[in-house]
Amino acid sequence: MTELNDFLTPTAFNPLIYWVLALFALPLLSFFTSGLFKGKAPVWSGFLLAVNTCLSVYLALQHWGLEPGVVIKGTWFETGSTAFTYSFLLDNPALIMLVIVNFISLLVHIFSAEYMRHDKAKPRYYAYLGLFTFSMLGIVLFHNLLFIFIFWELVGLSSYLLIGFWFEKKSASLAANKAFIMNRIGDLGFLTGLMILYTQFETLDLGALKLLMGDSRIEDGNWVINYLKNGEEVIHSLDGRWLSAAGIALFCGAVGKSAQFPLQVWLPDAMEGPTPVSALIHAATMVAAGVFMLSRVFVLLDAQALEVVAIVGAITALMAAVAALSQFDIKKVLAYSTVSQLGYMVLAMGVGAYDAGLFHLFTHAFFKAGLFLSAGVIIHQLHKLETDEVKFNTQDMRVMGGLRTYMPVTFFCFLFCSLSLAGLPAFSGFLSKEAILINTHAWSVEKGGGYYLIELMAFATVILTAFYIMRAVMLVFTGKFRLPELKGTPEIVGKLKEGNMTLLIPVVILAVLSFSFVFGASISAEDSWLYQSVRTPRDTWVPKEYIAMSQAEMLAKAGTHHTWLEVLSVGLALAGIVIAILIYKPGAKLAEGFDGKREPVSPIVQVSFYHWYQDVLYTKVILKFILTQSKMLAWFDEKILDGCVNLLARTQVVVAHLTGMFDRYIIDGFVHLTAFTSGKVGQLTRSIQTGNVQTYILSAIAMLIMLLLWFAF
Amino acid sequence: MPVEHLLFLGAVLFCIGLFVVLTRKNAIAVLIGVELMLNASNINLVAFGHFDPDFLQGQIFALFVITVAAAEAAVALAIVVKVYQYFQTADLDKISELKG
Amino acid sequence: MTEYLLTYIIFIPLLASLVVALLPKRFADSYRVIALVALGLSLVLTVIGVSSFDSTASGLTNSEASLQMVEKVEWFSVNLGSLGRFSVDYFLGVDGINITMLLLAAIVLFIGAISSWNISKKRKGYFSLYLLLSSSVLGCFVALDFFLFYLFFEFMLLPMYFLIGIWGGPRKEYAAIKFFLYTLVGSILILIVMIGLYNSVYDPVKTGAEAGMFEAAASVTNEQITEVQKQVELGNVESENIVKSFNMISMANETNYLPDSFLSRSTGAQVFGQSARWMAFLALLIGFAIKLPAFPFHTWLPDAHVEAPTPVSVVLAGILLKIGGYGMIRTAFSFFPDSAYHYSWLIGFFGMFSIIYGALNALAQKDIKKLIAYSSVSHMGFVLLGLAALTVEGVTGAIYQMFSHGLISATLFLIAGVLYDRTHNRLIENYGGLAHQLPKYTVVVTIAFFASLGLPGFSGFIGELMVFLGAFKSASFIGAIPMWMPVVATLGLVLSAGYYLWTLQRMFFGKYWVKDAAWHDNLKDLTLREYLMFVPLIAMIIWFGIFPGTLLDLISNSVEGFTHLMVQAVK
Repeated sequence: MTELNDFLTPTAFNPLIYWVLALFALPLLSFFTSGLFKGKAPVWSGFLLAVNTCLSVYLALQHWGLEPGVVIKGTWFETGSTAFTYSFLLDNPALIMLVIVNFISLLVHIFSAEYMRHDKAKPRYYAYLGLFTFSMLGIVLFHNLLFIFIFWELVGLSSYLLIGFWFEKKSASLAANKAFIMNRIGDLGFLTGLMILYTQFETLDLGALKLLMGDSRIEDGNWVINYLKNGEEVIHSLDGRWLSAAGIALFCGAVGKSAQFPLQVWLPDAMEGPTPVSALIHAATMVAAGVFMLSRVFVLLDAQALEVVAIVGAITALMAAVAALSQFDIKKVLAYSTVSQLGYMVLAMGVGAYDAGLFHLFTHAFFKAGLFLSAGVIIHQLHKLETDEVKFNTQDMRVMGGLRTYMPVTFFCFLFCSLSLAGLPAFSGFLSKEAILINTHAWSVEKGGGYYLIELMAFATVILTAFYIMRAVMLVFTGKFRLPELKGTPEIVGKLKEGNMTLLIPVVILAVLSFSFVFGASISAEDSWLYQSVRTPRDTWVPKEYIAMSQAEMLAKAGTHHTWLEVLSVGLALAGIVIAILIYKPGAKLAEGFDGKREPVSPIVQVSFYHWYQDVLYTKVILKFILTQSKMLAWFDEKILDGCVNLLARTQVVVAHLTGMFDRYIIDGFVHLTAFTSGKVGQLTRSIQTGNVQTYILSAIAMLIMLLLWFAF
Repeated sequence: MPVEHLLFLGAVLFCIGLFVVLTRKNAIAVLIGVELMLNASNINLVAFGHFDPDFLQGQIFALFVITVAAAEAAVALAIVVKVYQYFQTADLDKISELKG
Repeated sequence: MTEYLLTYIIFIPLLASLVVALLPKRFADSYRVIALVALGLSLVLTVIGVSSFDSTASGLTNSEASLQMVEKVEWFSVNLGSLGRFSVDYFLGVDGINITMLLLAAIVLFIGAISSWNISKKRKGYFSLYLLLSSSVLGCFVALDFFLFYLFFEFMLLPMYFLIGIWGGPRKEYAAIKFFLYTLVGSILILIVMIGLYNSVYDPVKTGAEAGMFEAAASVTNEQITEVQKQVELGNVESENIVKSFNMISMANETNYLPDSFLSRSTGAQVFGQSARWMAFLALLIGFAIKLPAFPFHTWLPDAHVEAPTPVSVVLAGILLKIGGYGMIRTAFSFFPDSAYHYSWLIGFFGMFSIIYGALNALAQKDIKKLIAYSSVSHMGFVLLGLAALTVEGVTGAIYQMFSHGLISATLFLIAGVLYDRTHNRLIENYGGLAHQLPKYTVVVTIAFFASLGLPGFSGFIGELMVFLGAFKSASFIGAIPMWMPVVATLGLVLSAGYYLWTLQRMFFGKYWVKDAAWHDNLKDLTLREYLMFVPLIAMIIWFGIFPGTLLDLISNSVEGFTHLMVQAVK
């Protein structure tokens, strides 16, 4: 039986902790001190990040391939008999993420130096970037669900701050709110997952959880675990459904952060932030944190939970790919593309392809960051054309066109990254996407029936992806430059230039990293060194009754369809590319009103443009419902509840007046009546007293006479 | 002269006096009435004194009554003067301070 | 050196209050200095007390052995013949539960004194009442004799009434009287139970001495006490020798109840066809729930907060609400653990409901102070939920939440005060883009809002996390509240994010705009005095968010003792 305390006792001192602390400290330092450097903030923050990148590369090289990784544990605080511990785990996925986060963050720091050159709030921007890097590293390095949750929320905070960086724009601050709240909704699930796991296992340390999960079993529909705590046996039992619930709840966190259906609406809006931020946070790292977290809790998910994960992933991938088809805003295309690719990763996790999901996460980080930064170059250069007279939307693809001749380097970088995204051989995206598709196929074969629909969705997304990204390439880079025509300013043409080296170096680096040779010479994912370094945890520790099919078994059972699957997907991608080229080829007649309208004309295309009207549903129905509800409750509180209190008070006053009246008229009335009666009697008697002496005498005599008469008779 | 005549005279005089006392408005007139009544009683006393030749107690009483009546008249007239000064009238109907 | 520490802490402000009251008007400028010095002194002494507090001492919360810094002197005692003896002690002491509250009170009162610096109307009355209030609040947290506790509890009302009623806003009279009456209703319920308890509980030590079973009360052994309890149980002690007691620690111990007394657990007396203990528990619960405040007894809070001057709001939200929670732990739950278990579903439900109800109400408010007031209702719901769980995590979370809410709500009300000082207007819709004009203020507001919405790294998160973990665990651990309650309550987190971020966006982001152009000149960024309030508060909020151990070490042993009693009572 497992002794819980073995997992909670702090590990012996390991000098590695200094390295880890340094990794945290440098971005945090950047956060606190950027403000002091004013104009020099980019240099200072960039320097710190460069050091951090070196540190992480060094750490990665030092600890590469150690199984099961280095663990450092300590106690955060204790309450009662439970200790809340923290632990760091340095294993291959963590090390890769560490390098990726730092590296892309560094590239973004460099890129931003030019991109944000004229922004007065530069120090604030760099401070936020530091905060983000710090929090992201927390998710990567910590191996305790509580700490992952903590940094999870902090990442949400930095994302909020960066999306709303240009806070004077109302749309930016609204988008920031939306991002934070959507993430929070997902986090509720995460928190619920924490509650369930804590109740069952009394710890949130992932190492302990993994082992205890393996010890737990299903008995009569109850989820039971025995373990030792301080040498005493403890039995915990919950309804078996909580096991699936825990997995799904944790997945909710990923749904929020990785922009999965139904919470994905925040990500397109998040494009209100500066473009480098979109590259770093909303393409490469933060949104991928959900997938990374799923990989961390992979062994805690049972078959039902994984099924939900797969279905949500597939739905997201398809929905977002459809939405990306008709966008005019280049960043929106990329945003929906990100959502769609994240859907792929989540789908991979759901079908049990842990390694494929992580692999796609890594490759996607590079080519998508490359796409965003290329778009950033274009936006930045176009922005320079803007004058007080000529205003236009620098992100609208309809004002672009033919940029290939003006910005050749950017064009090639964008093209390579696009082909990687489309999944053509020789590009990194091909490797990882292939791996996902094969695993999805195996899973569908294993499950059979309606589950083929998931596979179908995955393959449909391939052709859509190729189409929308090639559409973007064609619209932006081929044909002729449409802006001068639209604005009637032909002289503008000559002013458009390629971006400077500060902008191009990060883009080129990322473009190079989207080639598949970086990850291995073969065209098969299995041969890639990166793929091999993140092997699926073979023995899934989920209770036997709920066990998900092991990946190897599934692949074996599905047979080797490797070749035709690859042919199919490449064929689909090529088909998408060809269709896009045909439709948007230079000189092609575009739909009427293409240039001017705010939205596409055709109602079917509008469904895509408005992302299935999901956003409308949320704002017009759900948000409105909540706001109405809150208004009603406020009214209830003020009028009914407080009204009752006031009514009570008023009743009391009325009662007081009534008793006052009773007192005055009834009680006092008796007193007055007595006085009145005696008064009246007095009135009567006093009328005898005329005050006239003669009357008295007369009456005296009359009496005397009567007395005499009485005596006489 | 039979004593009945005297008694009759006294009674008549008394009645006149009483009538004056009861009916006159002026205080002086009332005083006069009182004097009449006193004198009527004097007549009675003198008349009955006829039956007491030795001591003449009736006559002596009458003398006393006359003396007291004189004193009474003096006091009463003084009061009436004061009342007149105070109320500016000697009309008894108007002087009703003791009316309840 | 800690011998009379608690007495000093309580009575220094009282003394200062007298000094302020007696000083002639000529020295009006020194009143605030006196207040600040007195409360500063109390704060320093409290910190000394906290640092000398032995956090390793453990024990059940129903034994005086678990107390520290005890001061126990007989205050008065009246012989009632065959009714026994009426005895009231001056009994102060701290354990893990109230030392945190004492610390919180000292901190917030001190901050409140800084915030009172620019009060200009009737300064003498204000500062002497403020000090009087401070004294009674501090006393309330450390008094362990029910009579003394009640005295301090009631005494708070008086200065509070005048502070709201004289220095308040436009509807101050209404708010003051509403606050006063509401709390008084609660007090009456508490008073009734107090009398009932007094009739049921005796003091074994004094009874033994009175009955001549031993000599000096100073050196009584546990065996002797047990012997007295046994004799009383058997009815061998003459009724005139029994010394009735208001001791709150004795009241928590079942063995100190007289056999056949009204509230003894064995008697099974009934009121309105219900167990008398249940009714007594409910009365105490409602009495303190009014103070907390929990739905549906919360409607005094928005009015009182909106009308009260800033420092009074700070004290009201920062400390007075906590007396509700503390009172529940110390009295209702401790005295009647069986009833607490019986009603835990109800308490948990009202906790959960308050969380969501308060949050939804806050969403609809137009006045920023009202918004904060409703958010207080929402946050205090966590306290109820945590207490209802009856688990170590839940109760710890409840206490932690009270502490952290004390700091955070104080900050929030100071924030509202900053704006009000400048423009005399608190309506959210009258501002926009303040971040341009008041960047530093915006930073403070953002930090405070995020702290309040429970972002990790701030103290609020620890409290809420512990409450959630404890509440969920409750069902399988002790069976007090069902699992869906904490799950539903998590909705409160989203709603709180909603109302805070929306407010932030409406007031501080976007284009700079204020409704009245005249306000513009007054809208200056934070002053030094305001920094002096915000910086320490925010530092503490962050400190207790990152190092919860500093506080939890103080709390945890007592909470464990407390929950152990609960578990015992249930079994």
